[in-house]
Amino acid sequence: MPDPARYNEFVTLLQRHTGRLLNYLNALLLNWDDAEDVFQECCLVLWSRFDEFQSGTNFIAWALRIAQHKALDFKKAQARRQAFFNRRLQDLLIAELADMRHPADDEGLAALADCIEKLSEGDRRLIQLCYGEGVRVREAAVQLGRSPQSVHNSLRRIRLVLLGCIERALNQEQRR
Amino acid sequence: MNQEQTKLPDDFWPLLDAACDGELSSTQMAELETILERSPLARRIFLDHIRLRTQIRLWWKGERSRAAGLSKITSGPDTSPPAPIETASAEMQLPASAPPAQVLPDYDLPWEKPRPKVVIETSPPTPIPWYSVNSPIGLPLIAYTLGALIMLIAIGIGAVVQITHNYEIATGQAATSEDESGGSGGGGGGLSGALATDEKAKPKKQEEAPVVGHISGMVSCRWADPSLKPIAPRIRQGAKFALASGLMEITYTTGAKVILQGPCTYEVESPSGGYLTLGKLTARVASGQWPAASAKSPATNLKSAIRNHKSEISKSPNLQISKFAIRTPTAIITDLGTEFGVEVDEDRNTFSHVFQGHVEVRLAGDVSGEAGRVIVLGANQSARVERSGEEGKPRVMKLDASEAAAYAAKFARRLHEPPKVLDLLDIVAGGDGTGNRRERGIDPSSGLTDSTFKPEHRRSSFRFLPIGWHRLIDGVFVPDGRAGSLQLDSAGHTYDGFPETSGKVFGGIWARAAELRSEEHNQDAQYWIYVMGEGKQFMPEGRGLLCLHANAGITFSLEAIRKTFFGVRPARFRATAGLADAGRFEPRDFGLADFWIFVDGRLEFQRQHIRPSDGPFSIDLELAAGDKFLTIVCSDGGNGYFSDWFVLGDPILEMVPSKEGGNLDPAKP
Repeated sequence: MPDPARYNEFVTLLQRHTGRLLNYLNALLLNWDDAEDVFQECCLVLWSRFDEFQSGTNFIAWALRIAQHKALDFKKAQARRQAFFNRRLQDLLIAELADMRHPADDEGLAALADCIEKLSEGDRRLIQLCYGEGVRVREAAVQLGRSPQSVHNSLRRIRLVLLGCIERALNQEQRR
Repeated sequence: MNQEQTKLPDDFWPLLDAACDGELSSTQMAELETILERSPLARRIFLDHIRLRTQIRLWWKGERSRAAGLSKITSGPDTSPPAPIETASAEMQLPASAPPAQVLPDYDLPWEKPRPKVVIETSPPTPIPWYSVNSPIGLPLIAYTLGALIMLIAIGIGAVVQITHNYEIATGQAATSEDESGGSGGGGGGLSGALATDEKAKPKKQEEAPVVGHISGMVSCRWADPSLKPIAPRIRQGAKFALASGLMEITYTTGAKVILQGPCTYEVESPSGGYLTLGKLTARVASGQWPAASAKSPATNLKSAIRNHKSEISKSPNLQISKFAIRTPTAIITDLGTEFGVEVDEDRNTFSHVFQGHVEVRLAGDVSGEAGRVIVLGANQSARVERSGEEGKPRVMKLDASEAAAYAAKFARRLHEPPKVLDLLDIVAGGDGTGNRRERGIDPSSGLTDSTFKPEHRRSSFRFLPIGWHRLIDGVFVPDGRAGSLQLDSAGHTYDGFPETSGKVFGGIWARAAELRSEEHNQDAQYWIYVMGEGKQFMPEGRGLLCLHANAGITFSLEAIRKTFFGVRPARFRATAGLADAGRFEPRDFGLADFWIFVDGRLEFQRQHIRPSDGPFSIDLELAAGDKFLTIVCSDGGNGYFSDWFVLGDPILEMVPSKEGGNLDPAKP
């Protein structure tokens, strides 16, 4: 039975940094299905290496490195189907993520849900289709009877609207 | 944001769009990479958008799961870690109980029927009947009725749970079982707990079912229903998995393990079992799962355990929840301390096979223990539950030994699949051939490992050096005809046809990664493994290079490989070989080398006087089932060993199933 205090700290840290790990994998792999698969493997590795975890150490740096290795392994196993950011950029993204202000996952998701509610029906449908269900932009454009470029533009606009809305909501929450 | 946009190159935004929308080409990726490397602002915006994209995905999964009535594990960002196997202990702070609204359906539905998915239909508006929840009369009436029902069921179940609780106290498990019982009975225990204390009556997170285990391994999993794809190792009660192929191992908090074998649909119903709708699984229940049995001597505990078990079931069907049980549409297979496999076919017939210990097979819905409807299976026995007759009534029957043996072979009992390819670079770098280890080597003059490439001239010891630290590598040597007959492997096979060489080797046998890091591009010819350049012509598969500078030989143990990977054997040795060009440092074609391949001391391949200008050539050597050693040798071509930069790109052993059978039997090494 592991030391309960160390175990609890590990649980808390892993929960707190889940978002960062997923974001990092998404940033590297740019494929949300793949990132989830690798994330799962990454969690298994983190747990299998629980014994190496030392209380008070930089957990997120350690976890991001493991995520980086798992992503690299994944890409190698895929026989270079797709290009990959170089090592320097991977490290820069790690540094950026480690420093970045990151809202708790529940907090961020709650704010996102509120902001999505405020979108128009069409916008909501579009992000559900492209970002939720993972339909490719070209297919979505066919379904919606629009050009792919117009769908890209709409998605960018919606992302910017949502980012602004979430930031305001989180700032408001902080002031309370 | 407008201000930020002005600081960034114009093409950043279209590239970001392509990245977020999953349509980034290789060229675009290189362009985005350049911008991101240069601009911290671009990186921050990129990460913001990626984070948003991730969150939208999670949000949508949550929405879909809620619509389908699934537990949270399949939906939101519940990526908390797996519970420890030992126990669902207090510090984990499991939710005290499941909400009554989720509890009721478990008891309303017949035990043998799978719970239907909630389907949200967008039907046109219809008049509201008086009994509807939307009716002003119906809502209070239904609420009152439900409340009364909950109270009645809770009182009944509370008594049952009390019995279970006392039973567990008596066997020393009381400390942890109270939390789990909240989940084990589909919420019954939780409900009684809710009635017992005010604190528990106020569930903190009603939407979260208790954690009952975690995913402890996966092999080549593909999902039949992507919405059920787990994104966290932790498993909550009610989690459902639909595997299209592959293996997934679930470790319950009780220590029981279940290996799902795709295609398979399985729901984790409680800490002590699940519902197999279709497909195969193997369950292994840890010792101590059944305290009544383990408390006595091994000689007597089985009969008494079965007797106790039957007596408990006859007292109350709900007590089955304290045993590990797999439900199927037609049967309930209850563990009696064992390892067993269960399969449900498309006609919903159930097959069960016992590998170790005993199980009880009971017709679904049969809680009375009628003779003839319950059978106990021992090791190597199988039973089939199928519907027969005009009424389609299920019946359970034992299968004969030959049928049982046939069923046994269908189940995966351990979570590993035999490799189709073994990577010799991984082996040289210290791995077992299934990984991607690189950038390590072996000194053929000493048999020791090189953790960094050592550009030094090493002298021959004129003998075969067995490798004791790696079971798949038999040994190494420096070939030199002056030594006469040279031993090639530990079986004592020798070869006396090597020419006289310089008797020296430069550096070691080195497993080089496919990619060159920028700092390794230097002008020092001693680091030939990097100075030679990318070497892509030698590695069409991009695996990496086995750098074998003359004079060096290495022998791999095919026999040890067969023993390590039961069920498969090396069938071919494949690689792309050639001499890398040292023309930048030496006169053109100065390098000259000979290459040799031996199997069990037999010369199978030889090519002499290889020059860089010859270019790469393919090696494809068939290996027989009984071959024991594969020896690869590079010697200088008679003009000294300088610039003999011999490489083997993508060196692999192709593995095929051996006659011994599959990999499903863990009893074999």
